[in-house]
Amino acid sequence: MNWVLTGIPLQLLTTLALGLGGATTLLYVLRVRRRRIEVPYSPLWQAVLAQHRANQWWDRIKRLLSLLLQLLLLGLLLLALGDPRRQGDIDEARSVVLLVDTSASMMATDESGARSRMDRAREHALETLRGLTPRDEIMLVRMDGQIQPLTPFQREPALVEELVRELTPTATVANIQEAMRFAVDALAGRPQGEIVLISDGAFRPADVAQFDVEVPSSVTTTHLAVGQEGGNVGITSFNVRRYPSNRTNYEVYVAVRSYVAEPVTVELGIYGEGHLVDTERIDMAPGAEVTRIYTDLPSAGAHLEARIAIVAGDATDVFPVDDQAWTLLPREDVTRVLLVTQGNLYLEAPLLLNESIEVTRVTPENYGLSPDGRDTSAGHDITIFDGVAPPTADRGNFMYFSPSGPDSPWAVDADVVDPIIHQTQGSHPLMRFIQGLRDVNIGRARRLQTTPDDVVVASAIGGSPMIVARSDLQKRLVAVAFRVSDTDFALRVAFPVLLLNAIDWFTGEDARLVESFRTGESWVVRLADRSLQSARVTWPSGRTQEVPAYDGTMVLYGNEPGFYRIEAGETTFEVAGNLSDPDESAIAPVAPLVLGDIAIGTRLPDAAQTSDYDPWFLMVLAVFALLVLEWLTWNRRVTV
Amino acid sequence: MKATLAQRVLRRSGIALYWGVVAALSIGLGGWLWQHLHVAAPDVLAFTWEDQEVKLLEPRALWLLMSAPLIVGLQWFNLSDFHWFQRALNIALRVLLLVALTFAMARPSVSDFDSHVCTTYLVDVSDSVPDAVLEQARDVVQRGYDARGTGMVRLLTFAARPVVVDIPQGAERVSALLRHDGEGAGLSSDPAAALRMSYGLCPPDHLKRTVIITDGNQNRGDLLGEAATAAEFGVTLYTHELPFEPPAEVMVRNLEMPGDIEVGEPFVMTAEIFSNRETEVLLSLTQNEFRDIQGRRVALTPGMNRVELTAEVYEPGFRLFELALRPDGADRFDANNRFTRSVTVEGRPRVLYVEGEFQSRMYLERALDRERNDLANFDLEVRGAYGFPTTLDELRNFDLVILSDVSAEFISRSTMANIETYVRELGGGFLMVGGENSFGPGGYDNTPLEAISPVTFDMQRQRDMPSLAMLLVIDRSGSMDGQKLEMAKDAARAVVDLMGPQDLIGVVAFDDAPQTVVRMQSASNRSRIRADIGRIGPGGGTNIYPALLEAWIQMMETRARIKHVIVLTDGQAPWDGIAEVLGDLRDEDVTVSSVAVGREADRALLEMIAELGSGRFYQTNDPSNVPQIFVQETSQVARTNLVEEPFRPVVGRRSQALTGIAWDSVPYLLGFVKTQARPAAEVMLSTETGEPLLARWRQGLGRVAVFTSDIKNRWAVEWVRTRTYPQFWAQVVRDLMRVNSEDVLDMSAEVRQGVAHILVDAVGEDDRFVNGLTSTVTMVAPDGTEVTMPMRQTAAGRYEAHAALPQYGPYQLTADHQLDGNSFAASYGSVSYPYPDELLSVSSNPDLARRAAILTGGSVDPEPSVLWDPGDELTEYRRELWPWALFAALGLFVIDLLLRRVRMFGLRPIRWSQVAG
Repeated sequence: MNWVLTGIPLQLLTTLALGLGGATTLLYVLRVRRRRIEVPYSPLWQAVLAQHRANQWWDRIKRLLSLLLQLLLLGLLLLALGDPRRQGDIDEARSVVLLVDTSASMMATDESGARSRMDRAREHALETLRGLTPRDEIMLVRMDGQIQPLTPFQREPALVEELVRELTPTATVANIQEAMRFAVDALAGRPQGEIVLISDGAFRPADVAQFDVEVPSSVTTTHLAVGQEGGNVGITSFNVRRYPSNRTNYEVYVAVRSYVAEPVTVELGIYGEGHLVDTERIDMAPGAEVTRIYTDLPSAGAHLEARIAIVAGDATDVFPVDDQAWTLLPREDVTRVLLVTQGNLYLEAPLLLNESIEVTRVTPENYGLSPDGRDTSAGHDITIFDGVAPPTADRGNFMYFSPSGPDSPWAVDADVVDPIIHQTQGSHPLMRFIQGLRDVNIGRARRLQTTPDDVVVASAIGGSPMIVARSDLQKRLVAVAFRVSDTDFALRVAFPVLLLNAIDWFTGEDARLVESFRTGESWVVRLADRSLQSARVTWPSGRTQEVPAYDGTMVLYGNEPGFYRIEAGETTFEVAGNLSDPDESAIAPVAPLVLGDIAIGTRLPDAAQTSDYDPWFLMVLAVFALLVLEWLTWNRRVTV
Repeated sequence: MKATLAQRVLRRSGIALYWGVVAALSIGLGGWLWQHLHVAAPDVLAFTWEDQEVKLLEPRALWLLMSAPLIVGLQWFNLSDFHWFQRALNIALRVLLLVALTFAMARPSVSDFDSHVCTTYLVDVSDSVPDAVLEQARDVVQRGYDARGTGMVRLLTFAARPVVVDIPQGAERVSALLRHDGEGAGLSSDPAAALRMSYGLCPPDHLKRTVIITDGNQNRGDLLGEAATAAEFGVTLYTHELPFEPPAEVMVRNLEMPGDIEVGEPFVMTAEIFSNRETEVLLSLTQNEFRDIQGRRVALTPGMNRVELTAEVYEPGFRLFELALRPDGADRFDANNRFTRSVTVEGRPRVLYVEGEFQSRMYLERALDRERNDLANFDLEVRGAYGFPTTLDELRNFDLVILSDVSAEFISRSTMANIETYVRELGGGFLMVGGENSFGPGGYDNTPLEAISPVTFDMQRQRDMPSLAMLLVIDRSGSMDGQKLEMAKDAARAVVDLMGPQDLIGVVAFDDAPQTVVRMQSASNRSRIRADIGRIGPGGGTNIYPALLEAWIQMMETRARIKHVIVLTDGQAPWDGIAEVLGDLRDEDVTVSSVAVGREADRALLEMIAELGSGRFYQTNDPSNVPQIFVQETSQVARTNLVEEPFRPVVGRRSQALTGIAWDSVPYLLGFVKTQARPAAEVMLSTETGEPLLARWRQGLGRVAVFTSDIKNRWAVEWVRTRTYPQFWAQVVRDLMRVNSEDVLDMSAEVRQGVAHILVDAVGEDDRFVNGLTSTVTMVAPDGTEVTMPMRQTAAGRYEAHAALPQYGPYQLTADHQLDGNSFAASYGSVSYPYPDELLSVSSNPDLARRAAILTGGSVDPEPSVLWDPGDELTEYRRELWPWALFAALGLFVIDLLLRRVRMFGLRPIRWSQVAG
């Protein structure tokens, strides 16, 4: 077997060996003056004679042996400094991508000794590192919802070892497709490519079935499996949703799924601000999903938490991550609406009935400046003009009914008599939950001249726009081409829904929105102030991060379950993130692993057949042992 | 010289002190190691030394320190005559040496800092980047390469995937920036993947700088998100904004359809057409295969142009609109000049009624005409058996298909498969109505239609058995010679033609003795059997008994559901034994019919044979009637599933289809086809004997029902004249039709990075969320392939599904929602994935790379000197210290040797007792 030195260069080693070896030899050439031993008189001569006889040959042997021992120790030390390693397949060094699964399922504690799969994965990774030859290059890549290479290809396993020990799982789903694609890309053009995948194999079934990464035949794939069992009961959904037209009440939805093979009883507890508010024992069949709905909860800004635990049954839940989930009942902010009208009960009534809307009414004459000099248009979130179109501020949200006049954002050239609404853009937020407006009887409407920036949400036969929306960074405008009093629109359910849709659109709210985020996804978080450049996010783990914002939104990649605190300008609010993924809660390990058409081998890494320790380490250990032994013999003068 | 007492005490105290120190050292060191290595069990032991964190990667090696007390303890037995001070130095040196070795084996490592720079260039080579820009990008990389000094340059090109470009060591010029090979390799751009890959290209002891050169048209991955990660890794990202002269490009960006298209009413759709120059285009619009607009010339201005197009839908159902444009002058991409959008236009539901006996169609047609506007509000289309739709596209336009008394010979297997798809995946309704050409007698055994039917068509099916075994026992005596025998042979041949391939047939000719002409075999061997029959020739006398005996023997060996013998003769024969053998045949469930030809035949004997054989007796004096008799007899036997007896329907299960009808007064129906209800079927009406009359069940998204009697003037002759007939059928039709449009839940769908995200919001009329629905969505791809997948409830009233889109084009979506096993509602939608996202890129989007660069602390258009200037930055990396510990050990080793070989501080006396023992 061939060996090579990878540490101190051979030339330096040779110099050191000559110098130090010469010095050692020289020291042994020097004779230490004989010891003076006090002896009693009577045996004096016998002893002296005996010593004399012995010294003749033993002294010489002893000194030579001692010298050889010292030279051996010296040689071993110098060789260790050279860091010798086996030649192995030195001319065909391997390039290894060490792909370590750090997805949520790796937190399962089903390895022996209640250790986590991550612990076992680290062991596998370290074993793999120790099995590398000196010329092998390795790249450590973590694989969860994102793919992150942690090192470049390098030949220094010691540096990788440290990173392996620091690997921690996140509450995200492993993206095996992207990970393998990355690994294949990284190995492109490298000889002896090898992908070592350390994972429990609990991937999304769709990812496995539709696996379409082409792994070249020159690349070897190895799966080092972790995980023993898949016993888990998890919360797969927990979120809050506002009723479409009741802006103040919410519905909470929780789904619990069993992944164990036998029936179990699960206790579901709902906590509000840390206090138990509801608990229930649920008998669950194997594989069953149970949902619970909590209706008509008022908005209160409360922190809600769902917890589950198996309380009866033989199964054990080894995956604690999905046993808790969090959500928030948003604190409803009051929307201040300024209604500029001579008086219109039809328009006021739907607004006044909604508790979250605060309506102020002014006449058109008093809009702008009140008699006492106050600007009555300021301090309102939305201004609704009923049949008038006075000058407005450069920023804000404005809704016009039958606009006209020189300050109208839309030019009006004529009226339309008896228009019939013929087409609507059902996909526009203004038309949510509105099936159609064909049967609305309209006596007269304005013919609005639209611009390319306008979106015609509803139009009459002949193409005259009936409802128009316009939006830019400063303003949002909605025009309804007719007055409510000229129609029977106010008598229809669609009218209050349209008003609330418009208010939602102005304020950036979305009745479709589900107040919950899933870890492992990019979250688009709305900020009240659209001019903010960034927001400060405090993660559930306590770390903080400055996240850039743009046009009133920021994008955050969340991978920890829990509450995230967001400080945006002068406002502070929270959002909740949960694992909420039935695929990731299905933690049953899979081995052998088949990805699409590719069967991943389960061969143990070479390390399993080699020593855990480097040769230099073993040499130093040998020197250590010899030095201890030599100390004993030198003290007793066996060696000198 | 004797030691004084004081000296002895002092000496013993010294001994005690010495061993005390050794023991204390052992206990203290052992305790410390136990606490830090065993109890804490660290993988890595870290401590700070001179403001540097030192980590021991192999802390277990520290256990070797336990040898230190041993070293000290062994000194007690030392025989050297060195001065005590030199010996003390010896011990210290030896312990230090071992500590140095132990420290080396514990593998210490520290953070180290360096300021070398490694710059990685990421160059976008996707199709949206013009060649000229690639040349400029190469110049940028070259300038950076030339200025690298001691720095390191890495180069990576990316489109759909990143690829490392090797720069050979010592090369003067960087390699050319080539586009990536492979189909579709340049049709998307993923700068985030390229940035991710760049982390691994530089050594850890280098400052990492990355320069991205891209047009900013990212259509995979998330560069901004990845830039945040890069910043955490200490990677600084820069970007070069190259002057980007976009090539001329015109594209259809969207075709916006109004939400409420109605049949026969013109509507306006809006085409969003992007152009980066002033030009004119010719537009054409097709609706399904018909051209709506041809050659309309439209002037475009730079930017997004909204062009309104008026169209009209002439019939409800699936409509596919395709807008194509042809620009004047140059245009970089052709594939984005076409955009397809599908819509499902709701009209009145359409019912297709296919009647096998076309002249009888008027009964149901008139009845439904009368009722449909009041009760069911649908359009009816009536066709004959040949008019059954042969394609799925044609079928999908109907909400219910009624198939009445149409033989399977008119409905091919592929059409049956279409019907199955139409029901299961498109939610259509299907009703099979009885008659002598329906169900089993119609040849629908073992067909896809039986598979989706709520009843099985064969009452006593035994899968391994043929349904019919027919044995023809034909007299070939001399008297039969001539026309009689020829007619009998023709009749036998007609029987062969009439029988199905699964049936068995045998022919025994007899005179005085039987002769097996055709051994019992499958009727599929028609030509051979016909030839064998042709070889029957006239013989001697007439003896029926041996022939019947032979028939019994053959039938005993035959397995079939129905076993039948037809005996034909024209003469007289002995009666002996015939009754007995008929009894034996009866025991084998064999029926026997008899045919007497001519007046000479023994009518009494043949009547007796028919009676004892539980068959029928036929008498004819005209031999030419014989084939007809045989055919009728065969049909009669083969079609035992037809029951022609008057009965009154019995209500089994109340349903909407049966309401308002006084079933007690409904006239008798005169017949039906025997079937057997499947366990999951709902039998709403049955015969008095319990066979299903009206049964239904759900199959996938649709419903299938059977009515085993007929709807015309044969079995329902009395009923068609009553008022309940039209009412009943209108209700049945309404019950089975595809879910009507009132129960539609809002569906939205969008395509993000090639994946359709489908959402359904279930909100009831009372503003409440509808929970607990079992929902599935069927997605029809542009090539017609269909995928059905479950929708998962993810929140109150929210149902979701995601599907990768394998092809470019329009996708039609239909969702079915069930509540407690009953159909609750449907959702309809469509998504269009007209062409690769890369073809949307017509101008650069420098904002993306600029924001990413700023996020990491980088800048735009950096000078090479900026890239290679480390400034105050240092990169931290781990360095192992064990070689230094070994160097220290080497030094200690030499000093240790010196101290043991050279006397330095005088000597001490050694007593004889120490040496001797």
